[in-house]
Amino acid sequence: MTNSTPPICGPCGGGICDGRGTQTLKAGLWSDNPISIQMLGVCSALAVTTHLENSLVMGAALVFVCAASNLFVSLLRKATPRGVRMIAEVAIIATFVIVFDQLLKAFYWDMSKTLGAYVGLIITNCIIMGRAEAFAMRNRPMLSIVDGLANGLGYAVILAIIGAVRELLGEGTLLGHEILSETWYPANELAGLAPGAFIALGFLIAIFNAVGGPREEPKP
Amino acid sequence: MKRNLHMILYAACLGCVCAAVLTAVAQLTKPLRLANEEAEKMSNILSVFEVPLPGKPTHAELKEIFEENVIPPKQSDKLKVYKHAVARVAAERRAVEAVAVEFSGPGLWAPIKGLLALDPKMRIIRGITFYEQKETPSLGGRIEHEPFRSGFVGKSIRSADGRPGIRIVKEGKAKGPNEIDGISGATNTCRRVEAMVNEAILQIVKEGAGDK
Repeated sequence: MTNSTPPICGPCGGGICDGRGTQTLKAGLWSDNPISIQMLGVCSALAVTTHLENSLVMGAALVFVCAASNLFVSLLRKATPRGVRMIAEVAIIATFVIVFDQLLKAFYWDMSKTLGAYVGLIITNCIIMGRAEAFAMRNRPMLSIVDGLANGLGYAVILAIIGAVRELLGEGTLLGHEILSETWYPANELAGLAPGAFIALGFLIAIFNAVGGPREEPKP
Repeated sequence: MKRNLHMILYAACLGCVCAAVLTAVAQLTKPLRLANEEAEKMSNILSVFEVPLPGKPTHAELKEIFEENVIPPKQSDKLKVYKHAVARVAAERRAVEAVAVEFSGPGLWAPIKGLLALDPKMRIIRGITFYEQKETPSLGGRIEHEPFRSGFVGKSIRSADGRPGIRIVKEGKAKGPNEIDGISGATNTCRRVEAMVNEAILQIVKEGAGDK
Protein backbone atom coordinates (compact mmCIF):
# COMPACT_ATOMS: atom_id res chain seq x y z
CA MET A 1 0.00 0.00 0.00
CA THR A 2 1.24 3.53 -0.63
CA ASN A 3 2.02 5.73 2.34
CA SER A 4 -0.50 8.44 1.34
CA THR A 5 -3.93 8.34 3.00
CA PRO A 6 -6.76 7.35 0.62
CA PRO A 7 -9.15 10.24 -0.25
CA ILE A 8 -12.41 10.34 1.69
CA CYS A 9 -15.11 8.51 -0.24
CA GLY A 10 -18.23 10.67 -0.53
CA PRO A 11 -21.32 8.56 0.10
CA CYS A 12 -19.58 5.55 1.59
CA GLY A 13 -17.40 6.99 4.30
CA GLY A 14 -13.62 6.95 4.41
CA GLY A 15 -11.81 3.86 3.25
CA ILE A 16 -14.80 1.53 2.64
CA CYS A 17 -14.59 1.79 -1.14
CA ASP A 18 -10.82 2.12 -0.97
CA GLY A 19 -11.36 5.80 -1.60
CA ARG A 20 -12.70 5.16 -5.10
CA GLY A 21 -16.23 6.32 -4.28
CA THR A 22 -15.85 9.97 -5.27
CA GLN A 23 -13.86 8.95 -8.31
CA THR A 24 -16.71 6.65 -9.39
CA LEU A 25 -19.29 9.33 -8.69
CA LYS A 26 -17.45 11.96 -10.71
CA ALA A 27 -16.90 9.53 -13.58
CA GLY A 28 -20.57 8.66 -13.94
CA LEU A 29 -21.71 12.25 -13.72
CA TRP A 30 -19.04 13.99 -15.76
CA SER A 31 -15.83 12.53 -17.11
CA ASP A 32 -17.43 9.29 -18.29
CA ASN A 33 -21.02 10.47 -18.68
CA PRO A 34 -23.08 7.65 -20.20
CA ILE A 35 -24.69 9.78 -22.88
CA SER A 36 -22.24 12.48 -23.78
CA ILE A 37 -19.03 10.49 -23.43
CA GLN A 38 -19.97 6.81 -23.63
CA MET A 39 -22.75 7.58 -26.14
CA LEU A 40 -25.13 4.98 -24.69
CA GLY A 41 -28.87 5.16 -24.09
CA VAL A 42 -29.30 7.92 -26.65
CA CYS A 43 -32.55 6.54 -28.09
CA SER A 44 -34.71 7.14 -25.04
CA ALA A 45 -32.91 10.41 -24.40
CA LEU A 46 -34.33 11.71 -27.67
CA ALA A 47 -37.74 10.10 -27.52
CA VAL A 48 -39.10 11.19 -24.14
CA THR A 49 -37.51 14.62 -23.75
CA THR A 50 -40.32 16.60 -25.35
CA HIS A 51 -41.17 18.00 -21.93
CA LEU A 52 -39.09 18.56 -18.82
CA GLU A 53 -41.47 16.59 -16.60
CA ASN A 54 -41.19 13.48 -18.78
CA SER A 55 -37.40 13.77 -18.73
CA LEU A 56 -37.30 14.01 -14.96
CA VAL A 57 -39.47 10.92 -14.48
CA MET A 58 -37.44 8.96 -17.03
CA GLY A 59 -34.24 10.07 -15.33
CA ALA A 60 -35.59 8.99 -11.96
CA ALA A 61 -36.51 5.62 -13.45
CA LEU A 62 -33.01 5.08 -14.71
CA VAL A 63 -31.35 6.13 -11.45
CA PHE A 64 -33.56 3.69 -9.55
CA VAL A 65 -33.07 0.77 -11.93
CA CYS A 66 -29.35 1.31 -12.46
CA ALA A 67 -28.57 1.62 -8.75
CA ALA A 68 -30.83 -1.24 -7.68
CA SER A 69 -29.74 -3.66 -10.38
CA ASN A 70 -26.08 -2.79 -9.83
CA LEU A 71 -26.54 -3.56 -6.13
CA PHE A 72 -28.10 -6.96 -6.67
CA VAL A 73 -25.83 -7.97 -9.52
CA SER A 74 -22.91 -7.11 -7.28
CA LEU A 75 -24.34 -9.01 -4.30
CA LEU A 76 -24.78 -12.10 -6.46
CA ARG A 77 -21.56 -11.74 -8.43
CA LYS A 78 -19.71 -14.55 -6.69
CA ALA A 79 -22.70 -16.92 -6.77
CA THR A 80 -23.58 -16.40 -10.43
CA PRO A 81 -22.26 -19.13 -12.73
CA ARG A 82 -20.44 -17.72 -15.75
CA GLY A 83 -22.77 -19.43 -18.22
CA VAL A 84 -25.88 -17.59 -17.02
CA ARG A 85 -24.17 -14.33 -16.14
CA MET A 86 -25.89 -12.10 -18.72
CA ILE A 87 -29.26 -13.80 -18.38
CA ALA A 88 -29.14 -13.19 -14.66
CA GLU A 89 -28.28 -9.53 -15.23
CA VAL A 90 -31.20 -9.07 -17.60
CA ALA A 91 -33.58 -10.83 -15.20
CA ILE A 92 -32.58 -8.54 -12.35
CA ILE A 93 -32.77 -5.41 -14.50
CA ALA A 94 -36.15 -6.45 -15.93
CA THR A 95 -37.56 -7.04 -12.45
CA PHE A 96 -36.71 -3.53 -11.31
CA VAL A 97 -37.98 -1.94 -14.50
CA ILE A 98 -41.32 -3.69 -14.17
CA VAL A 99 -41.56 -2.72 -10.51
CA PHE A 100 -41.06 0.91 -11.50
CA ASP A 101 -43.60 0.56 -14.30
CA GLN A 102 -46.22 -0.86 -11.92
CA LEU A 103 -45.60 1.91 -9.40
CA LEU A 104 -45.89 4.51 -12.15
CA LYS A 105 -49.20 3.04 -13.31
CA ALA A 106 -50.50 3.12 -9.75
CA PHE A 107 -49.30 6.54 -8.64
CA TYR A 108 -48.63 8.60 -11.77
CA TRP A 109 -51.01 7.26 -14.39
CA ASP A 110 -50.83 10.19 -16.82
CA MET A 111 -47.06 10.01 -16.99
CA SER A 112 -47.24 6.25 -17.51
CA LYS A 113 -49.39 6.85 -20.58
CA THR A 114 -47.12 9.62 -21.85
CA LEU A 115 -43.91 7.60 -21.51
CA GLY A 116 -45.68 4.54 -22.85
CA ALA A 117 -43.35 1.85 -24.11
CA TYR A 118 -40.19 3.71 -23.15
CA VAL A 119 -40.43 2.68 -19.51
CA GLY A 120 -40.38 -0.97 -20.51
CA LEU A 121 -37.57 -0.27 -22.95
CA ILE A 122 -35.31 0.71 -20.06
CA ILE A 123 -34.64 -3.03 -19.84
CA THR A 124 -32.83 -2.78 -23.16
CA ASN A 125 -30.98 0.41 -22.25
CA CYS A 126 -27.28 -0.15 -22.88
CA ILE A 127 -26.26 1.97 -19.91
CA ILE A 128 -27.77 -0.36 -17.32
CA MET A 129 -26.61 -3.59 -18.91
CA GLY A 130 -23.23 -2.02 -19.54
CA ARG A 131 -22.74 -1.00 -15.92
CA ALA A 132 -23.96 -4.36 -14.64
CA GLU A 133 -21.51 -6.26 -16.83
CA ALA A 134 -18.55 -3.90 -16.71
CA PHE A 135 -18.73 -2.73 -13.12
CA ALA A 136 -21.17 -4.49 -10.81
CA MET A 137 -19.92 -7.94 -11.76
CA ARG A 138 -16.46 -7.18 -10.46
CA ASN A 139 -16.90 -4.63 -7.69
CA ARG A 140 -18.24 -4.55 -4.20
CA PRO A 141 -21.94 -3.74 -3.59
CA MET A 142 -21.42 -0.32 -1.98
CA LEU A 143 -19.24 0.89 -4.82
CA SER A 144 -21.64 -0.62 -7.33
CA ILE A 145 -24.51 1.39 -5.89
CA VAL A 146 -22.43 4.55 -6.25
CA ASP A 147 -21.66 3.66 -9.85
CA GLY A 148 -25.33 2.96 -10.57
CA LEU A 149 -26.41 6.23 -8.98
CA ALA A 150 -23.67 8.17 -10.75
CA ASN A 151 -24.45 6.82 -14.22
CA GLY A 152 -28.17 7.17 -13.64
CA LEU A 153 -27.71 10.77 -12.51
CA GLY A 154 -25.39 11.47 -15.44
CA TYR A 155 -28.14 10.26 -17.76
CA ALA A 156 -30.82 12.15 -15.83
CA VAL A 157 -28.93 15.44 -15.96
CA ILE A 158 -28.49 15.23 -19.74
CA LEU A 159 -32.16 14.34 -20.14
CA ALA A 160 -33.24 17.20 -17.93
CA ILE A 161 -31.19 19.72 -19.90
CA ILE A 162 -32.49 18.48 -23.25
CA GLY A 163 -36.03 18.30 -21.91
CA ALA A 164 -35.86 21.84 -20.58
CA VAL A 165 -34.44 23.20 -23.85
CA ARG A 166 -36.97 21.35 -25.99
CA GLU A 167 -39.95 22.36 -23.88
CA LEU A 168 -38.80 25.97 -23.63
CA LEU A 169 -38.08 26.37 -27.33
CA GLY A 170 -40.86 24.11 -28.53
CA GLU A 171 -43.71 25.43 -26.39
CA GLY A 172 -42.41 28.32 -24.34
CA THR A 173 -43.16 26.55 -21.07
CA LEU A 174 -41.20 24.79 -18.35
CA LEU A 175 -42.96 22.12 -16.31
CA GLY A 176 -46.19 23.47 -17.76
CA HIS A 177 -45.63 27.03 -16.57
CA GLU A 178 -45.47 29.61 -19.31
CA ILE A 179 -42.07 31.26 -19.54
CA LEU A 180 -41.92 32.62 -23.08
CA SER A 181 -45.24 34.28 -23.73
CA GLU A 182 -47.18 33.24 -26.82
CA THR A 183 -47.70 36.87 -27.71
CA TRP A 184 -44.13 37.46 -28.83
CA TYR A 185 -42.47 34.03 -29.00
CA PRO A 186 -43.48 31.86 -31.97
CA ALA A 187 -43.16 28.25 -30.85
CA ASN A 188 -40.38 26.35 -32.61
CA GLU A 189 -42.03 23.11 -33.65
CA LEU A 190 -38.73 21.56 -34.69
CA ALA A 191 -37.64 21.48 -31.06
CA GLY A 192 -40.55 19.17 -30.28
CA LEU A 193 -39.72 16.74 -33.06
CA ALA A 194 -36.94 14.18 -33.40
CA PRO A 195 -34.55 16.33 -35.48
CA GLY A 196 -34.73 19.05 -32.86
CA ALA A 197 -33.77 16.52 -30.22
CA PHE A 198 -30.79 15.38 -32.27
CA ILE A 199 -29.59 18.93 -32.74
CA ALA A 200 -29.96 19.75 -29.05
CA LEU A 201 -28.13 16.57 -28.08
CA GLY A 202 -25.35 17.29 -30.55
CA PHE A 203 -24.75 20.72 -29.10
CA LEU A 204 -24.81 19.33 -25.57
CA ILE A 205 -22.27 16.61 -26.35
CA ALA A 206 -20.02 19.17 -28.00
CA ILE A 207 -20.19 21.43 -24.94
CA PHE A 208 -19.58 18.55 -22.54
CA ASN A 209 -16.55 17.40 -24.47
CA ALA A 210 -15.16 20.89 -24.89
CA VAL A 211 -15.51 21.81 -21.21
CA GLY A 212 -14.76 18.43 -19.66
CA GLY A 213 -12.06 17.43 -22.05
CA PRO A 214 -12.25 14.29 -24.16
CA ARG A 215 -11.74 10.92 -22.51
CA GLU A 216 -8.14 9.76 -22.80
CA GLU A 217 -7.97 7.48 -25.81
CA PRO A 218 -4.99 5.08 -25.71
CA LYS A 219 -2.51 6.07 -28.41
CA PRO A 220 -2.29 3.40 -31.17
CA MET B 1 -22.58 -32.19 -14.98
CA LYS B 2 -22.26 -30.53 -11.60
CA ARG B 3 -21.66 -27.16 -13.28
CA ASN B 4 -24.79 -27.55 -15.41
CA LEU B 5 -26.80 -28.46 -12.35
CA HIS B 6 -25.50 -25.39 -10.59
CA MET B 7 -26.53 -23.19 -13.53
CA ILE B 8 -30.02 -24.68 -13.72
CA LEU B 9 -30.56 -24.39 -9.98
CA TYR B 10 -29.32 -20.80 -9.93
CA ALA B 11 -31.52 -19.82 -12.87
CA ALA B 12 -34.56 -21.51 -11.31
CA CYS B 13 -34.02 -19.80 -7.96
CA LEU B 14 -33.43 -16.37 -9.50
CA GLY B 15 -36.49 -16.82 -11.70
CA CYS B 16 -38.67 -17.72 -8.73
CA VAL B 17 -37.45 -14.81 -6.65
CA CYS B 18 -37.99 -12.29 -9.47
CA ALA B 19 -41.44 -13.72 -10.18
CA ALA B 20 -42.37 -13.52 -6.51
CA VAL B 21 -41.25 -9.89 -6.23
CA LEU B 22 -43.17 -8.89 -9.35
CA THR B 23 -46.32 -10.75 -8.29
CA ALA B 24 -46.22 -9.04 -4.91
CA VAL B 25 -45.80 -5.57 -6.42
CA ALA B 26 -48.52 -6.23 -9.01
CA GLN B 27 -50.97 -7.36 -6.34
CA LEU B 28 -50.20 -4.40 -4.09
CA THR B 29 -50.64 -1.84 -6.84
CA LYS B 30 -53.65 -3.55 -8.44
CA PRO B 31 -56.41 -1.54 -6.70
CA LEU B 32 -54.78 1.76 -7.61
CA ARG B 33 -54.14 0.68 -11.19
CA LEU B 34 -57.70 -0.52 -11.67
CA ALA B 35 -59.05 2.71 -10.20
CA ASN B 36 -56.89 4.68 -12.63
CA GLU B 37 -58.10 2.62 -15.57
CA GLU B 38 -61.72 3.04 -14.52
CA ALA B 39 -61.22 6.79 -14.12
CA GLU B 40 -59.71 6.98 -17.56
CA LYS B 41 -62.59 5.04 -19.11
CA MET B 42 -65.16 7.30 -17.45
CA SER B 43 -63.20 10.34 -18.56
CA ASN B 44 -63.07 9.03 -22.14
CA ILE B 45 -66.81 8.39 -22.26
CA LEU B 46 -67.54 11.82 -20.83
CA SER B 47 -65.19 13.45 -23.32
CA VAL B 48 -66.76 11.73 -26.34
CA PHE B 49 -70.11 13.08 -25.09
CA GLU B 50 -68.42 16.49 -24.72
CA VAL B 51 -69.39 16.81 -21.06
CA PRO B 52 -67.21 19.54 -19.53
CA LEU B 53 -64.86 18.29 -16.82
CA PRO B 54 -63.06 20.28 -14.10
CA GLY B 55 -59.29 20.67 -14.44
CA LYS B 56 -57.97 17.68 -12.53
CA PRO B 57 -60.97 15.78 -11.19
CA THR B 58 -60.54 13.36 -8.33
CA HIS B 59 -61.82 9.83 -8.74
CA ALA B 60 -64.89 10.64 -6.63
CA GLU B 61 -65.69 13.81 -8.60
CA LEU B 62 -65.34 11.93 -11.87
CA LYS B 63 -67.64 9.15 -10.67
CA GLU B 64 -70.26 11.68 -9.62
CA ILE B 65 -70.21 13.47 -12.98
CA PHE B 66 -70.30 10.11 -14.75
CA GLU B 67 -73.32 8.88 -12.83
CA GLU B 68 -75.12 12.15 -13.45
CA ASN B 69 -74.54 12.09 -17.17
CA VAL B 70 -74.21 8.55 -18.42
CA ILE B 71 -76.34 5.44 -18.30
CA PRO B 72 -73.99 2.49 -18.73
CA PRO B 73 -75.15 -0.64 -20.57
CA LYS B 74 -76.64 -3.51 -18.62
CA GLN B 75 -74.76 -6.82 -18.39
CA SER B 76 -77.59 -8.46 -20.35
CA ASP B 77 -77.54 -6.01 -23.27
CA LYS B 78 -76.29 -7.59 -26.47
CA LEU B 79 -75.02 -4.30 -27.80
CA LYS B 80 -73.08 -2.37 -25.18
CA VAL B 81 -74.17 1.21 -25.55
CA TYR B 82 -73.44 4.09 -23.21
CA LYS B 83 -76.25 6.61 -23.16
CA HIS B 84 -75.65 10.26 -22.54
CA ALA B 85 -78.64 11.29 -20.47
CA VAL B 86 -78.44 14.02 -17.90
CA ALA B 87 -80.23 13.28 -14.63
CA ARG B 88 -82.15 16.37 -13.70
CA VAL B 89 -84.19 15.07 -10.83
CA ALA B 90 -83.74 11.55 -9.52
CA ALA B 91 -87.21 10.32 -10.38
CA GLU B 92 -87.55 12.06 -13.75
CA ARG B 93 -87.04 10.04 -16.89
CA ARG B 94 -83.79 10.93 -18.55
CA ALA B 95 -83.79 11.94 -22.21
CA VAL B 96 -81.05 10.32 -24.21
CA GLU B 97 -79.02 12.94 -26.04
CA ALA B 98 -76.33 10.75 -27.59
CA VAL B 99 -75.00 7.22 -27.40
CA ALA B 100 -71.52 5.79 -27.48
CA VAL B 101 -70.37 2.39 -28.59
CA GLU B 102 -67.01 0.85 -27.82
CA PHE B 103 -64.90 -0.55 -30.59
CA SER B 104 -61.59 -2.33 -30.53
CA GLY B 105 -59.32 -4.25 -32.82
CA PRO B 106 -55.73 -4.94 -33.74
CA GLY B 107 -53.70 -1.91 -34.67
CA LEU B 108 -50.39 -2.03 -36.44
CA TRP B 109 -48.37 -2.52 -33.26
CA ALA B 110 -50.88 -3.10 -30.47
CA PRO B 111 -54.65 -3.22 -29.89
CA ILE B 112 -56.59 -0.04 -30.56
CA LYS B 113 -59.59 0.78 -28.40
CA GLY B 114 -61.97 3.65 -28.74
CA LEU B 115 -65.50 5.02 -28.51
CA LEU B 116 -67.82 6.02 -31.32
CA ALA B 117 -70.42 8.63 -30.39
CA LEU B 118 -73.68 8.61 -32.35
CA ASP B 119 -77.03 10.38 -32.31
CA PRO B 120 -79.71 8.59 -30.25
CA LYS B 121 -81.11 6.92 -33.39
CA MET B 122 -77.59 5.60 -34.17
CA ARG B 123 -77.43 6.88 -37.72
CA ILE B 124 -75.05 9.82 -37.67
CA ILE B 125 -71.61 9.87 -36.05
CA ARG B 126 -71.19 12.62 -33.48
CA GLY B 127 -67.54 11.97 -32.72
CA ILE B 128 -64.83 9.43 -32.09
CA THR B 129 -62.12 9.03 -29.46
CA PHE B 130 -59.25 6.60 -29.18
CA TYR B 131 -58.27 5.79 -25.64
CA GLU B 132 -55.74 3.11 -26.30
CA GLN B 133 -53.36 2.98 -29.19
CA LYS B 134 -49.68 2.42 -29.72
CA GLU B 135 -49.37 3.36 -33.36
CA THR B 136 -46.35 5.11 -34.79
CA PRO B 137 -46.24 8.56 -33.23
CA SER B 138 -46.80 11.37 -35.77
CA LEU B 139 -48.04 8.84 -38.34
CA GLY B 140 -50.63 6.30 -37.16
CA GLY B 141 -50.61 8.04 -33.80
CA ARG B 142 -52.33 10.99 -35.39
CA ILE B 143 -55.64 9.14 -35.24
CA GLU B 144 -55.90 10.57 -31.74
CA HIS B 145 -55.63 14.15 -32.95
CA GLU B 146 -57.33 16.56 -35.26
CA PRO B 147 -58.05 16.74 -38.12
CA PHE B 148 -58.57 12.97 -38.34
CA ARG B 149 -61.07 12.83 -35.50
CA SER B 150 -63.17 15.77 -36.63
CA GLY B 151 -63.46 14.08 -40.03
CA PHE B 152 -65.90 11.65 -38.42
CA VAL B 153 -68.30 14.29 -37.14
CA GLY B 154 -71.59 14.36 -39.04
CA LYS B 155 -70.79 11.31 -41.15
CA SER B 156 -73.40 8.64 -41.68
CA ILE B 157 -72.81 5.03 -40.73
CA ARG B 158 -74.24 4.01 -44.08
CA SER B 159 -73.06 4.77 -47.59
CA ALA B 160 -75.19 6.74 -50.07
CA ASP B 161 -76.84 3.53 -51.25
CA GLY B 162 -77.62 2.30 -47.76
CA ARG B 163 -74.81 -0.18 -47.13
CA PRO B 164 -73.60 -0.08 -43.51
CA GLY B 165 -70.03 0.92 -42.87
CA ILE B 166 -67.69 3.87 -43.13
CA ARG B 167 -64.80 4.20 -45.53
CA ILE B 168 -61.52 5.86 -44.71
CA VAL B 169 -60.21 7.17 -48.00
CA LYS B 170 -57.03 8.89 -49.17
CA GLU B 171 -56.41 12.18 -47.41
CA GLY B 172 -58.45 14.94 -48.99
CA LYS B 173 -60.60 12.68 -51.12
CA ALA B 174 -63.60 12.16 -48.82
CA LYS B 175 -66.79 12.82 -50.77
CA GLY B 176 -69.66 10.47 -49.87
CA PRO B 177 -71.75 10.66 -46.69
CA ASN B 178 -69.79 7.84 -45.09
CA GLU B 179 -66.32 8.69 -46.37
CA ILE B 180 -63.65 10.06 -44.06
CA ASP B 181 -60.20 11.50 -44.81
CA GLY B 182 -57.37 9.21 -43.84
CA ILE B 183 -53.81 10.08 -42.83
CA SER B 184 -51.19 9.97 -45.55
CA GLY B 185 -48.31 7.76 -44.46
CA ALA B 186 -50.55 5.81 -42.10
CA THR B 187 -52.49 3.64 -44.57
CA ASN B 188 -52.24 0.47 -42.52
CA THR B 189 -53.44 2.08 -39.33
CA CYS B 190 -56.35 3.74 -41.15
CA ARG B 191 -57.32 0.46 -42.77
CA ARG B 192 -57.40 -1.26 -39.40
CA VAL B 193 -59.37 1.55 -37.77
CA GLU B 194 -61.89 1.34 -40.61
CA ALA B 195 -62.23 -2.40 -40.04
CA MET B 196 -62.81 -2.18 -36.33
CA VAL B 197 -65.27 0.73 -36.53
CA ASN B 198 -67.21 -1.13 -39.22
CA GLU B 199 -67.31 -4.19 -37.00
CA ALA B 200 -69.04 -2.07 -34.36
CA ILE B 201 -71.35 -0.54 -36.97
CA LEU B 202 -72.35 -3.98 -38.26
CA GLN B 203 -73.18 -4.98 -34.70
CA ILE B 204 -75.33 -1.86 -34.32
CA VAL B 205 -77.18 -2.63 -37.55
CA LYS B 206 -77.58 -6.28 -36.58
CA GLU B 207 -79.19 -5.39 -33.26
CA GLY B 208 -81.81 -3.42 -35.11
CA ALA B 209 -80.60 0.06 -34.22
CA GLY B 210 -79.31 2.48 -36.86
CA ASP B 211 -82.14 1.83 -39.28
CA LYS B 212 -82.44 4.17 -42.20
